[in-house]
Amino acid sequence: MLTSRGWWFLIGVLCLLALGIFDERWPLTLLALTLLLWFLAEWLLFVLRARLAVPALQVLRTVADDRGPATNLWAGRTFHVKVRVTLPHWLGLPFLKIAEFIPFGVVPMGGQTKNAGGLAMGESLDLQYSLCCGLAGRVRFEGVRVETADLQGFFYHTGFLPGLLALRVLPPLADARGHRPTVKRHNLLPSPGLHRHMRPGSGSDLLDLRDYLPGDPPKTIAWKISARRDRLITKEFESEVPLRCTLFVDTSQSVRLGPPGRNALARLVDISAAMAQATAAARDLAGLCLFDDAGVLATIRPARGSRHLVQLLNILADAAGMAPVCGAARVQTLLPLACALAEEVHPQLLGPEVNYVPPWLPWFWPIPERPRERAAFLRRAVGLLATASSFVPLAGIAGLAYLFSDPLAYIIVPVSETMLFLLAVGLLVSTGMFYYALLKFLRHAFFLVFARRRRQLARWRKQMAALLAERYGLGAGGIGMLLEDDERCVIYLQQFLAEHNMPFPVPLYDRAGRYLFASPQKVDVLARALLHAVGKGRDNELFVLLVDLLELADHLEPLRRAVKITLARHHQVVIVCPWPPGVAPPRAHGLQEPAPAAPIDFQAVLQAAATERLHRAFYQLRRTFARLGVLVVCAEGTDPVRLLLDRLDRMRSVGLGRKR
Amino acid sequence: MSEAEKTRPTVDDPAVRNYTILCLGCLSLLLVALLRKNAGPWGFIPVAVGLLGVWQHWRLAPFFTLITVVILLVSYEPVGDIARRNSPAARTFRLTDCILCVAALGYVIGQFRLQSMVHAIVPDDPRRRREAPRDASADALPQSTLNRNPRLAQPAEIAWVIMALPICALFAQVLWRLLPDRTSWSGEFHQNWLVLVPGIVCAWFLVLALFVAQGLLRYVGWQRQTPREARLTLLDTYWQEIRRELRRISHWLAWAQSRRQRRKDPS
Repeated sequence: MLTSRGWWFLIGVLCLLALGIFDERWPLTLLALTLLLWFLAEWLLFVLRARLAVPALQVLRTVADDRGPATNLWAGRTFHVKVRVTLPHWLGLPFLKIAEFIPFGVVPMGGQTKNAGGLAMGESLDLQYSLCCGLAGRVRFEGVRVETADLQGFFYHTGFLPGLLALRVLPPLADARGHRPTVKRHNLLPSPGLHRHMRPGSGSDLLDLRDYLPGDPPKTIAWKISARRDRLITKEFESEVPLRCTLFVDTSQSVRLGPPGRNALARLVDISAAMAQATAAARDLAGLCLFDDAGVLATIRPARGSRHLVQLLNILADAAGMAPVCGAARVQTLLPLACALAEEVHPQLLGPEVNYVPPWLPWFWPIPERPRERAAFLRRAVGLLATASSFVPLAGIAGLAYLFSDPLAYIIVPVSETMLFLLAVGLLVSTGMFYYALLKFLRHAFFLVFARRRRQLARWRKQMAALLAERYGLGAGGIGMLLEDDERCVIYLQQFLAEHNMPFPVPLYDRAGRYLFASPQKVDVLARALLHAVGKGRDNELFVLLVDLLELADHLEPLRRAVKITLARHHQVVIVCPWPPGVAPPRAHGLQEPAPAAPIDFQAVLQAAATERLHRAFYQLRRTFARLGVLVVCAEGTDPVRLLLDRLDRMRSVGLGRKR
Repeated sequence: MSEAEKTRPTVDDPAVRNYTILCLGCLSLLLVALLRKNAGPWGFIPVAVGLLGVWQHWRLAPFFTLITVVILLVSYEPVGDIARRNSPAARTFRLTDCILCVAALGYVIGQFRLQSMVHAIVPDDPRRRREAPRDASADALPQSTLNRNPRLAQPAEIAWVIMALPICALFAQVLWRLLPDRTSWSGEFHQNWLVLVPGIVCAWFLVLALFVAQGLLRYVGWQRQTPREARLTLLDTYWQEIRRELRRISHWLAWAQSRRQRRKDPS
């Protein structure tokens, strides 16, 4: 609370006062007392302001575009944010500095994100700035950071005014016309949103001729043919049914890897949103199924309309913000990140009044102790015996010397040899145990003296455990659980960071070298979801599987069976495979020739090996599904949206094409 | 960078002008008081230091001004009979001392407030300070180094300061009268120990007042807690009560989970 200027002033005045009192320099004493009284009065006033006026500050935030207040943001568009901080307290604040906490994933486009000034009762400070969200997902405006000080610069106080406003950032508006095929395929296409189905219906194209049945409308009678055959013949027309496209979007852990908005999931969401908008513009029906390795997260049946489209985009925006969760991450890596974020946005929940960290905690608390194994237990027992035995000579000699050094006690209380022996043994054991406990404590404490980071981590962990237990309703037992259980602590820390859109590192491989994010369970989930959609489907539909299968070459059998059934029902399937950012996309004509030998660059060699491995996996995946006649597209190399729209157009004109 | 950060104080700003006048007036009073204390021409030294500080917005000017005043007071205070100085008559109200106190306090306040308009009023965030490069130029300083915009100063500030000066000086006189004499800790302690009683009583009252004030502030803090803060306070208190049992249970639960995982996946 005191600045360095304040500390120096206080120390100087106290020295002056001491000099005046002890040397009886009364003018000096008077001067020091005057300065000290004023200093204490200012201090008291500042404490009152910091405790009463600062928490009373109110934040009002509005996000608007050119047409008015916005409830959803759109990626790639500019919005205007207005923040007003009002003081309704009579104490006033002579100096207040406010700074907007810019959410992650948002680019400020100009304006004022900081301001300062004095506030009396009822007055306000304003911030106005523009922002642009480049990526779909969610944006959290946490609040405003405030700093207040007295007019002399002796005291200061920092805090955070929570004013949470969470908004969805919908995927960018796609230009549906831009995705239309440039080559005109047929002169006669059915109306947008329809395709011809080889069933009798009310379309305009002739499907078949049959004998007249009572009840057939007279206008369907083919009179010329009836005259030739001398009986009534009726025309049957093709049915025109809606064109349906169902998108299966993979949101498993494998596609969430990477910074939010720049991972494979973001690309899948972009493609899905563009497809949904393009199909909506063509009056086709679009459906959506989100799934991960645990199950189906959301299913929306194919429909059309603006409300349906907004619903699809909302769900996709929520999915785009998903972050990977991995219990194998290290607490030591995540704690500094989470604690820095909490200090920024929840400083009031980390203060000693509400979140007390006992001073002994880092010293007496080897957190968390490793779960004991049998071998470790034996090692521990042996260590205990060894430590105790190391004190036997010293403690034994000391004990016996004590017993025999007091002849009076020996004379007054006759001690038998057995009792003497038992006493000596008891003394030895207790001395050994005492020294062992002391040694154990010293062993921890000695290293902790030099392990400032470890002590800091222990403090952070206690603070974050309490904060997370309160935030997620874990109760007091949750604090104990998070302090002891590394894996759960990691999961909750990742959840906390992900909710604030903050990227965090995750390990890709476990100790045995296995890839942690392959998520093979999602193949079964996808196969079940696909069969369910096929069962509910009525007409020929297009199923687009946006799924990462690169690491799952050995687990594809359930999906192959489901795709076979789908194709047997005259539906069409396209697989769009996401591609890791920063890796060269696969070429259309097979594997690339190995590059000529170059000077050894370890990073480049690793990069080349990883790229080649991914290319091989992609070509193998393409071969696997090419046998079924299913197209596999890389999400990076080509324009998958254009390709999918071409496929839809082909489906629309399939009846006409077959006739020709 | 906001408008408040761009502004630099000039004498044209009313707040700067008012505080400069306050400093100059207080330096004049200080000179008068020192001259009345027979400081002679040496009395101009603190005034010169103070003027330099006002002119150059020198950060250490208040400290050096006070130090020179202290040196002059120590040097030119008439050293008489200690017994006479300790007599009750020596503790009477003296206008010169009062003027000296008012002048020094006024100068210190005015100078520090002027500095807060030139230099940073809020210290840098230590985390950002650690991240800042050592050879960073002034332009590369973090944004939190923010001075106070003089145009936003309230006109009533100077009035409050002028009103506070005599009040602080008068309260200092009262406190000064309550201070114990040197005999309290000199050789005649066993004879004059009663002189300590007012001091002890004052000290007790002070401690009691601080204790009560802290309790009241804490109570007010609890009253003003948000629901989340209150929940966390209760949670934390509860955890402190049962932490030993919790630790034992949680430790074995973690062990059991780890063991289960090992059995499921031995590698």
